[in-house]
Amino acid sequence: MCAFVCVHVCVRLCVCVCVCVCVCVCVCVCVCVCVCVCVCVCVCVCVCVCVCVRVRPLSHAPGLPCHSSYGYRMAGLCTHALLLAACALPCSSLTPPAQVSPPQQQPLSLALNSSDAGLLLDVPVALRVFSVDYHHVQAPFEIVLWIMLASLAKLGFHWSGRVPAVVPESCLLIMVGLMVGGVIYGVRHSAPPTLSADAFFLFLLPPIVLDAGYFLPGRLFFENLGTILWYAVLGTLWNVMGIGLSLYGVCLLAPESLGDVSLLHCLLFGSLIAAVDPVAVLSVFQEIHVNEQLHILVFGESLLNDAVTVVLYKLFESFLRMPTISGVDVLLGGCRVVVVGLGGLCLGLFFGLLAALTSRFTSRAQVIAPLFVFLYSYLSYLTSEMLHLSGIMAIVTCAVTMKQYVEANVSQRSNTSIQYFLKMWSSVSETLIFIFLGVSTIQDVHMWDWPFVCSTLLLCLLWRALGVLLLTAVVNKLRRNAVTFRDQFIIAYGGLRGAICFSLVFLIDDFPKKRLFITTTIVVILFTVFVQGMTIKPLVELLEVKKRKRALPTVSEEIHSRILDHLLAGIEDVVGYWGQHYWKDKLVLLYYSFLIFTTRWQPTPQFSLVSKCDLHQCSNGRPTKCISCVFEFESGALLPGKNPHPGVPPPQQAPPPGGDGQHQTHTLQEPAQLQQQGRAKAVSAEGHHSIQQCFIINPFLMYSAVHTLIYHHYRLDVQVCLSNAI
Amino acid sequence: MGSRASTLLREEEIEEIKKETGFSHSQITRLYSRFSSLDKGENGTLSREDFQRIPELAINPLGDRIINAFFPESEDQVNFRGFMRTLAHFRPIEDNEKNKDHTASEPLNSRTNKLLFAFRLYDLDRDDKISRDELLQVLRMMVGVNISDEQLGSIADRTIQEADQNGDSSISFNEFIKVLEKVDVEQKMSIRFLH
Repeated sequence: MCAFVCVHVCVRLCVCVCVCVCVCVCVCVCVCVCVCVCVCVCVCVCVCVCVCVRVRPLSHAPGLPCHSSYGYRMAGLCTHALLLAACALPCSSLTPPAQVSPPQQQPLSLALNSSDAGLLLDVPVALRVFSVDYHHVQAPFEIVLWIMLASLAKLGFHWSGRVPAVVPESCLLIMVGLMVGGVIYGVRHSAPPTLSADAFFLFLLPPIVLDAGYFLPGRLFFENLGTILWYAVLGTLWNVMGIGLSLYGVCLLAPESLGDVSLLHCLLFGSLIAAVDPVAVLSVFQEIHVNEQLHILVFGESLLNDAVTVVLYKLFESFLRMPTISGVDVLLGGCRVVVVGLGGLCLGLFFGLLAALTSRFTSRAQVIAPLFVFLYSYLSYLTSEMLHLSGIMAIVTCAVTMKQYVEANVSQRSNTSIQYFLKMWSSVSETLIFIFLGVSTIQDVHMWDWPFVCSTLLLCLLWRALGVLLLTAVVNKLRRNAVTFRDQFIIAYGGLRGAICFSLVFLIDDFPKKRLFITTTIVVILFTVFVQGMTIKPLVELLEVKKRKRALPTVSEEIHSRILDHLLAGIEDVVGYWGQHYWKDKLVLLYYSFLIFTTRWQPTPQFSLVSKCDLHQCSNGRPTKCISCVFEFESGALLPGKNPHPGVPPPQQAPPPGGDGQHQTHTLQEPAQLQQQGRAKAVSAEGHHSIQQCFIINPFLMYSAVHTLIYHHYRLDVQVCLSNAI
Repeated sequence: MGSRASTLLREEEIEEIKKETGFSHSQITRLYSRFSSLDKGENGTLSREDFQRIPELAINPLGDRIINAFFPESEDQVNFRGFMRTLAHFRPIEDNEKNKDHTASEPLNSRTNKLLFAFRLYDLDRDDKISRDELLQVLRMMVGVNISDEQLGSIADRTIQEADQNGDSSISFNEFIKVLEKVDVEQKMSIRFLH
């Protein structure tokens, strides 16, 4: 009843395709030797896709039996073994498809067929000792298997040596998806499951955007916000109009094949194909390490153009459904852009602030603190989707807003959990998206039309290049740091399209040429991801685009940069110039006001809003102008110079430890001894982060002598900071 | 400019300031109106109290030092020329200036002069060295966190260690320049003075 064929594709990643005789999709993980223990029953069609990751032991030549010592890979092996065991359970069949002959029920000794869920009540004799009920777990089971496939593919990718250096991950994942899709198609002779737009927009996209928003380099983003908005709004409009109108021109030129594509259809198509996709950009740019300004320009644009894309897409769609269109409607459409964008922003702000407030009170239930981050962000996304506002903008704003407060309010462990979960979910999402892109490419019906497809490709590139050139020429006059021609080229070339276009094209109302649109979209996506994705890295090298600074700034640079910031803010105040620093300072003031507001009720050491009264530091001896005046919540110490940590013994006058190995100890050392050692140790990333946090702003006065409270945000891991300063 | 006849700006003065600082005509007039609005006493000079009346400057941790930077040695009043001279440090470096030959006197907004301005923020006693105490003072103003003196001291020592090359436990101006060579000072220390 069972027959399987194992095919090894020996490129370090061995993909075994086992064609068994069952209708279930199981992922069997085989260790080394591809023994697929898949006992399947019944007369149905089964496709088993086994991804075998060849775990190569360090010191053994290939070909030796795999039960040699794996050492630290035992953990991986155990998972594999478990999966193996799970797959050893026979899979029962689903309702057999109509074309298959009625199943000959010949239960093997191990397995039983249950075409109805649950127990078999018609069997007369003995109690079922063992039964299989696939229906019961079908949906989650299949979801988990897809996720498993995606994750194993990603693992395999990272183990495959030189390949990641040349081919970006997204390409490989699409290829895996293509293979899987091809297999499924080959076996079932029908289209494989496609990525449903709902699943994409509601489940797969939010984690990625949340992750992007949470780890957005805030300062850089806001410094370049004007330029980013310029590209996002105007650039997208330019692209949409350009591509839409010129495609219409192409359609007019080829009336035989493209006669029934109207102007509105072309504009609709333009609106969905013109948008740069954050997922694709993120995955490709992550690997090429260009300078931060360039990265934030492309990335910020891809995030913010969602508002424009969403509006234009819905606008043209509703225009298509309306019998007549008047000028008023177009104007209203323009207003909608503003409403959608700002609406998303406000929703995001609202939920972000709520999350900040809530995180304030999580001190007694720290374990669920990370949950609030995810819940509130997702809620903001769903709410804005409900109101047809820009979900991406909402979730990004929510993440950016709540990040500082949440980090201040939750424990270190919760912070780590949040970061790890975000990274994990976004990674899984991204992998799934690309694999599904590959799978969905295998369609039953593709409509191909050379002029349309080729002209779309060309026009996309052309209009983007023109748009970037023109817009940058204008915006460079207003920027401090001009965007160079090389950067412009990378911005234009890095406009990758991805899964958002793909989902949007499926959502179009049916019309004769819809298939053509789908095919064209797929071609454009594949082209941008493969061709542009693979060549951008060599181009960056070739054009000598400025790369990201590898080294962390030194402590001195850190300090001096901050001092310069304060200096500039002060000078701007003197000049009366409402410049960047002015607004930044105002925002910081607002931020701290909110911080005070959220912490007024329950000051506990957890939140560490502390301050230390140090009247000696006041210039001119005037307490009201005391810059670093503070009072301490924790220990109640109000006098300067007192030991802030009563439990910690004051630093010992220990002799300097000899040798480099001692530098790892976390003892406090007298500054005098540092000079004796005279050794400069590299500052680790965390240490650097702590030192950075040391210098986060500071004090500000309430305008009254009585209320000279200066609240300060303390996020310093003292030990790490010290051990790295030593 | 109102009825303050004695404080009207004369054309020759504008020309001189233009030559000295490089500001344009409109920028100078605009800054003059700002100067006049700050000058409550209407005597053509600014005192320290005039600066301290700017609310945001009071909040700025470096506020007092910035104010001090406007006043030349041991003086309590600054006139418009001095005001402009200080502000000239923050003029952006134009492209055509970058390639200009080095004239006898470097323009006020050159990189070196900008760095000198920043250096003087630390170096209160003007001995051309940032000692450990001076650095600690500035750090304390910047940080204000629940960080003890020893911890701040280690950070200060680390900073000096990174910069110090001649082993005198203090940072001289040349060492300061060297430390900041990777930082884009021209861009960081420039304000766009609107026309």
